[in-house]
Amino acid sequence: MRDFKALRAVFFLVLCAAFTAALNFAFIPNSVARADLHRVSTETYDDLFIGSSHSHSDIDPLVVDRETGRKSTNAGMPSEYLTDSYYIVKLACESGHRPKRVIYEWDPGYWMTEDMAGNNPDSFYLRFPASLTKISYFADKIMDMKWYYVLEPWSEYRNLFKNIPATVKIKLGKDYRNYGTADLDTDVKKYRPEGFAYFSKGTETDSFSNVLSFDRTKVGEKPLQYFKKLAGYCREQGIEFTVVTLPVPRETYSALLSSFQDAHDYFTGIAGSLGIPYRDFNDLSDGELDRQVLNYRDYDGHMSGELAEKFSVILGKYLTK
Amino acid sequence: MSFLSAKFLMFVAAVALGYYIVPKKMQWLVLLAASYLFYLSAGVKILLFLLFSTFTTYACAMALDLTGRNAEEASRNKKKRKFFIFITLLLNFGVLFVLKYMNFVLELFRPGSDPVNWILPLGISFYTFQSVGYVLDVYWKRTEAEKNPFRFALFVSFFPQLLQGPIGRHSRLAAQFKEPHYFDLTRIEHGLQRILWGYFQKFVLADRAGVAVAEIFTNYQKYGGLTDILGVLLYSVQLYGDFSGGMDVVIGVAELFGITLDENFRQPFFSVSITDFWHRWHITLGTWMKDYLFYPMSLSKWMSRFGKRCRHVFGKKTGRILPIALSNIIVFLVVGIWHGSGWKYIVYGLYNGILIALANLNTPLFDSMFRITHINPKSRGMHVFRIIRTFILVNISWYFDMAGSLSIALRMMRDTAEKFSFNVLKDGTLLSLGLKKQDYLILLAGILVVFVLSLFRENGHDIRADVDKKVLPVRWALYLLLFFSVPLLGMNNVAGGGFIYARF
Repeated sequence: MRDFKALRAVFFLVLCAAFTAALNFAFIPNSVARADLHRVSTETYDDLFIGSSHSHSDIDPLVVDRETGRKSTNAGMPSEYLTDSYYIVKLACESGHRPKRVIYEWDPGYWMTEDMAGNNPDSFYLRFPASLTKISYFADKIMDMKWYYVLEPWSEYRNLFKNIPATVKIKLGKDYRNYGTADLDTDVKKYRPEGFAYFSKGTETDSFSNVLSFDRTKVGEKPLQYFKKLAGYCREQGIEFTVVTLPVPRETYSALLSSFQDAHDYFTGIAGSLGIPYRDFNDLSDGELDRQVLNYRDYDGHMSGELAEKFSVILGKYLTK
Repeated sequence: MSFLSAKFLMFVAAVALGYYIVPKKMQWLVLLAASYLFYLSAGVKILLFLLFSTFTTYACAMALDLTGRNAEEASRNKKKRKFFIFITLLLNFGVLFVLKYMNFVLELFRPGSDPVNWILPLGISFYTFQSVGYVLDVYWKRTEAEKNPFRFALFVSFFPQLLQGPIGRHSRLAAQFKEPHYFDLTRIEHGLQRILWGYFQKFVLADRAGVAVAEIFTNYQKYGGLTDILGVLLYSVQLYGDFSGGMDVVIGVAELFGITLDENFRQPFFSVSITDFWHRWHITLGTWMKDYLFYPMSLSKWMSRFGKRCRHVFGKKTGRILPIALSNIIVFLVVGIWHGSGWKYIVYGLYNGILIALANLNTPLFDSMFRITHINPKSRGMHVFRIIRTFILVNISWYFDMAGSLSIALRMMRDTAEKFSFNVLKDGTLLSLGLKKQDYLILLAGILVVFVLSLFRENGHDIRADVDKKVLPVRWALYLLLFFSVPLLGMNNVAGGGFIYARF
């Protein structure tokens, strides 16, 4: 009798798991993280870019490679916090694709906000291939989330129920199976190879309200802790580690001048104390890069594809030095 | 480690696995290790406070045991025993007082002085009351002193109840920790049922109501009238969903280990008086106050002298009630202070105490009114009237509990009356409180489910037994519905806060 009861309990758990798998399949949409993480863990490259959405929109690895003569890939993505970046680098190493150099794009805003406060903080974790790194990522960050986000990840996407037919269709398609991103392209954004998003020039250039002003007193403990962990890990693995800050529009920079200068001083101090090279590209002159906001997607500093390609040349030259 | 996190569920699963694998004699050791590990996860420093409380109360109980093995010995050592008790209460309540109320006292006597920034160890209000209650029980010979310090440490630190109660009694818990517990799938099923139901109340109701409550009580200047009333009503939902839901999780987790904890809620919103409400809401705090404060105070010599004087001045009837009324006011003043430091908590406690005292004093008056008006006090209509009246009185008390300060609570009360208008129902205010239309619908549906189940329980139904009687497919469908309703309807904020009472 007891065995029968146990069998029933196991069957019930299997039923729950089956429902969950079906809901995950139907609700969770394709994501650029899926493609990027697959590339990071399966392809070979010399330089690995990590960072935020700015890295994603401002750095075209193919252009950078033309300058450096090396092979690079971009794993900077929207809502990528340092905790995520750290595990992306670990994933690359664990899967046997250790880069020679990691270039971390420092966005001051990400150091002032909680990584659990953003949208879908487990969106990278969900797309991580099965690995030991995924387990440590889970133990470090994911298991502190509410249990139902962990056991039932579809719940974070439950508002997308209208997209279920489209999501299912995409997931059954060949492009998805090949880790493609064709379905994520829009009129203003096209995904290019190696993790670069080509944006058309902006229509969202009407406000500073979304730009987070840097305040060093608001920097949490976690970013610094993970920055040191990442630097230490790169050192252990024999990976060169460098940090860059990408240029924002001249208008944004002028409006928040003291904030940007303080951010520069703050990070120069940190990087200096750890002996890590740091380059803040906000000092580029108009002659070097036309930083009018019209060339960007928004005031926050996401570049249009056209400007990103020009900037990538400059970045490539810097990385060649 | 938050009770809401996946980490907690994994921790519980791992502890349960260990608990049922080890020899039965060692089960309590698994719980002890787990409890300390759980507390340690919140920091090493706060563990010292738990150890301090455990050590002092254990030592005191042992001293009481050694000095009072029989009535004669206890009588001979009366002064010594009183001294032990005095020191233990002073030390434990002293630590609690200093950590929890120092800033309030500083502000009271030295306004404008810099507040001290001391940590408040998790669950200190709960484990202090639980361990002090044990010492008093040993003193009054209601329970045996626990000789094994480690078993006693488990009684104080049992991890499910450590942070938010229920405040347990040694006489009921100690034996359970000693008994062997065999793996029983039916009990596991019941425990999980209870845990899920707790999470449903927390995530679907409390967290959702809490969004509008926070908006209304934080930006109280913007609102008034019906919006404030809505805020208070939603606070009822939030507090009940949070605390009662939290208790369901706690009791459910304990049930997984075969430990039955005391119930802390019994359909409180069906109360017919404030006294009745406190017999149904946070029951273990109420019974603690009754056993360790109300009765000792009511039966004390000075209260007896006060009673005699009252009977002399006010006559037999009123004179008999006055000492009880005074005891109630003092008890609820302490209940108010227990809830936090600040005038608003003192007024919250006094409000409840005075209402209870007035109800006691006016009982003869009410009886006469019923006789004159020929109203049957036991009629159904009167019962419903009393429930509604109590509900309103309880909701008024929430102003003090939830508002940022006493002055804000009073201002909000004034605004509720002065700015009353039905316009808020159609001018979009309700949709500016952080909740969408669908949130209100989910809240209404959730409240309806809780109400119907409470009504069943109030009428003597044992819901769990009813569910057990259902055929397997129906039971599974119910479980699946409950399980998937949490991710489907739970409030969508990933980090989220913990339980309100886990901060006490």
